[in-house]
Amino acid sequence: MATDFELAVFERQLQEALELPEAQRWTLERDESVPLGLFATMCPRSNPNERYRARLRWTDLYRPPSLKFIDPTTNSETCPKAWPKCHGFRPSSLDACLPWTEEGHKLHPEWQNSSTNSFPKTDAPVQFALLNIQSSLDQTYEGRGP
Amino acid sequence: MNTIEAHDDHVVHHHHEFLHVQVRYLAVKKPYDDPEAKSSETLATLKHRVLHHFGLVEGDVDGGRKEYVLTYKGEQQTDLSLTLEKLAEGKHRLEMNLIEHFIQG
Repeated sequence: MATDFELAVFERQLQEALELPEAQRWTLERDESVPLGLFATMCPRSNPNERYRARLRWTDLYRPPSLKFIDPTTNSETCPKAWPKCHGFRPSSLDACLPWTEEGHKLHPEWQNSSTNSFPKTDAPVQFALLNIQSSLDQTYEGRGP
Repeated sequence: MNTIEAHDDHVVHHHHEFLHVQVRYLAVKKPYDDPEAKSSETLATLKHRVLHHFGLVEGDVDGGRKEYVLTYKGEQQTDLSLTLEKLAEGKHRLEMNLIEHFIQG
């Protein structure tokens, strides 16, 4: 359960994320079904017409968030085509095996004590997650999932 | 740096010796901020300053290598001999990101 402090920080960080230069390319919405969650619609720089709806949920704001890509039409979270093919994203498994995601740490518990793959100390967890997604889309995008 | 502004009846040339540079490290809220970076500075020296600012070190770790890459408008900047002036293409302000890469050994 998110603390009042986390909720306040989350709200502030959401507003701060909207001031990032990259945010001009995003549509951000709160995920009202959880205390610490949001939807971000994003696109790769190389293909602005391909829109992806990421869902980020935190159980603890300072630990890795869960990342899923949601079908914007049906709201299904089990649609491989809703996923972009990027480094670490696994559309067929509907997860992202990356050190900044909850799913990645579930697959690799050893990352918690790794100097390279442990979740970093961050004062901007919302920004960190959003910019990581955008960086993946901009730099390693290879098309839509199968 | 030379920039050109077109006005109604004439063209004004500006020379900027300095650029306002901001580099955002994804995990940190406050970006590295240098309002007076020399326009002749290369990305290599800028990257060195930025890594030092955030307390980051490149090198071998856990059977691989950790590296940091500067990105501008979503594109990785691999030519570190590029000057800020060249990258800015006439703009007075540069906003970049610093991305972490782990290269498996």
